[in-house]
Amino acid sequence: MRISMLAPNLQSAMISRHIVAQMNLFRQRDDQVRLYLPAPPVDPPVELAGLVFTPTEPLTPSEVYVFHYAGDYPLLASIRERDQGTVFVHDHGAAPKGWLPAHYADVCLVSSRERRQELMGFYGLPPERVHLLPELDQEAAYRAALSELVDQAVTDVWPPSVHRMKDVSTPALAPASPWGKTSPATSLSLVRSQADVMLRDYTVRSRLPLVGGLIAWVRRNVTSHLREPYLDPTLERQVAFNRTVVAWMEQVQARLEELEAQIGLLHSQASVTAADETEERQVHRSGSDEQVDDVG
Amino acid sequence: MRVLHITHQYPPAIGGSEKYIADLSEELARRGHQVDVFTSRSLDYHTWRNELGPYEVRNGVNVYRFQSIQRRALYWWMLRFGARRYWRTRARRYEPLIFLGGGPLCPGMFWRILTRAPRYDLIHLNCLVYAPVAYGFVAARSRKVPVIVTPHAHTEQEVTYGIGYQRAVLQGSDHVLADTSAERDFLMDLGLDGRRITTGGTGLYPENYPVQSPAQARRQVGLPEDAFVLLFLGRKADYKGFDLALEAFKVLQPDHPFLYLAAVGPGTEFSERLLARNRGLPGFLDLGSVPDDVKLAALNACDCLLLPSSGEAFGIVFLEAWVVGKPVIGARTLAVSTVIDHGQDGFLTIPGDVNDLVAYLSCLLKDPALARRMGAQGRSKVLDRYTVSRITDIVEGTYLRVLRERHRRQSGRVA
Repeated sequence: MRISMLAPNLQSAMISRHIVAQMNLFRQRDDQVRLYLPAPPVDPPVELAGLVFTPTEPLTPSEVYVFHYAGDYPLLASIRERDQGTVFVHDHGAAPKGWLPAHYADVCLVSSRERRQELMGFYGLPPERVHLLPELDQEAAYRAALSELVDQAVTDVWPPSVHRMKDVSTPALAPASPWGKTSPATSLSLVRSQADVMLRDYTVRSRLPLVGGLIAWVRRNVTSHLREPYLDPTLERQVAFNRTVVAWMEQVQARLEELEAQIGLLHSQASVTAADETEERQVHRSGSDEQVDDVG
Repeated sequence: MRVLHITHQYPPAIGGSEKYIADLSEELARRGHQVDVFTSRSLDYHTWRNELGPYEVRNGVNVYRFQSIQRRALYWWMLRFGARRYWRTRARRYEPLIFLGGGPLCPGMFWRILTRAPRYDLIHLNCLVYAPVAYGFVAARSRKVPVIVTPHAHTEQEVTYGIGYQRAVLQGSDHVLADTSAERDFLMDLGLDGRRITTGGTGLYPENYPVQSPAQARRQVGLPEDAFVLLFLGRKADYKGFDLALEAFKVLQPDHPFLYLAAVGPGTEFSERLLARNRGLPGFLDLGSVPDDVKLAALNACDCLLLPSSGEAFGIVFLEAWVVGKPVIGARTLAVSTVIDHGQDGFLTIPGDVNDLVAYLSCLLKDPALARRMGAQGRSKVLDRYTVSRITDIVEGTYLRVLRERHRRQSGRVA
């Protein structure tokens, strides 16, 4: 597979480490890999010897393009011309808010959980397209994750489009399930907004000229004996019940969030305690060793 | 890229989806793409009357306009009869009535898409509720050109996405551009694959919304300088919540004599009835439909924008208020709740609940500094996320992803 990597430079140690790790991986997979930089690097790592190019002409067509992004640079504009192949953007998260090359990518790689959150929350990228890479120190995991992502992306085709939805003739599309993929807060807001089931704006009308008013008056009065003493109070009770349930659900949700926060706190305390214990044990062990040495 | 945009109307026709497609087309043309637009000659969706010329170049975009069949009483009857029966029975035999009654029907456009579609790299359909999306889809599909659709689905109004042929378009398109993440989630709940949906949104040109001095803006629209001004901006249809705004204003005004409500936007039968009942209300000012400069002055003149609408696909007026530094109040519907950050740049109220609206308005009345902080927060959000340029990045990126996916599919590497 031909893979083109594009980066602003090799000055940033962190970006440079990622580039070297990725190029090593691709070479070991027998991919033909090239690194494109806007200008020749001053002191390139030995692993990159013979693989660095500074293109004055359009890029060589490749199956995969990996754009490293930590701010704007001249080669980045070519992402807007990539109508073939598979495009990766490795977003290093240092750029100011504004133009985001990740919008042009099939897959966006990030190195921190916070950046992933920002890309999904603020910029609206779907979770399926934003992948958190393992730490560079965890070499095996890093290589396995990247390799799998590349293999998946180059063969990724969306499900075939069909001309009819399978349930097109089934009755009543329910409104989006509040417990679907939306966040609990949004879902609860939706449920709260739907608690009032009364059609409060509804008025009996008739569009017939002249007699329309009379027809509406008759219809109103013919149904009022049922509506006022029976239907309306029943529905109002249902609305009140719905609101109570929503209030209760909100309390449960708040309690759940509180418990989650407590669990998080307990986890962090547990890890601190575990670290302390390990340290204590080591100190204790080294103390014992010294005692043994003294005895010896 | 060579791109064809198909839409029911195009500026100078007024409307949110018209503005969306025009901004997008012009920005793409500015970036060097060839953009053609096929649309009707109409300015008025009530009648689809043919009022505009057949061809023009608007800011680099080739706009081809086609004759549409005028919507007279018979078509309205078909629409109402078909819709009434369809929602009751869900029988497909009523769909043609809704399609024909909905319009605009431009046979010339259908033929032109059929003959010219292969000249384009892709076809982008705008606003699912109108007929050109359906016949544009059929024509594009028959010529095997990639299709992208921006449905502008109002999740609370099934008529904007739930009729059989509309759902067939959603399911059959190569990609769907949702206005909000809530709309994306909603479409996924309807059974669409998440990989085929991207959250785009709507943007504006901040330079078209200069921040003016409130005193000068208030003089221009005829409001006192020391007032606290609420602005309702939008078509005064029943679902837009104009009645709620008026009701909340009537509750608060007696205790706050310096409170004013200005209403900007075209009236409807509903609003006329409402206004007839509230004639002579102190502090209320109905400006009706106004030119852009007056709209801008109204935005600058207000202290808070109010649009408690129960049916919005996005709510571009929120962006317009934010960009001039004003806080907003909207209804907590699925789409709007992903646009407004409650308590940060505005408030979300329970749809249809006047008391909730009054509570939040009182909060802003008591603390004008909070209103200013929220407005500033909103402005920064628009500049970072909701400009035409940012939205075009998303759409342009989506076009390229669609072309790449198609190429992968056709290249034979993928079974």
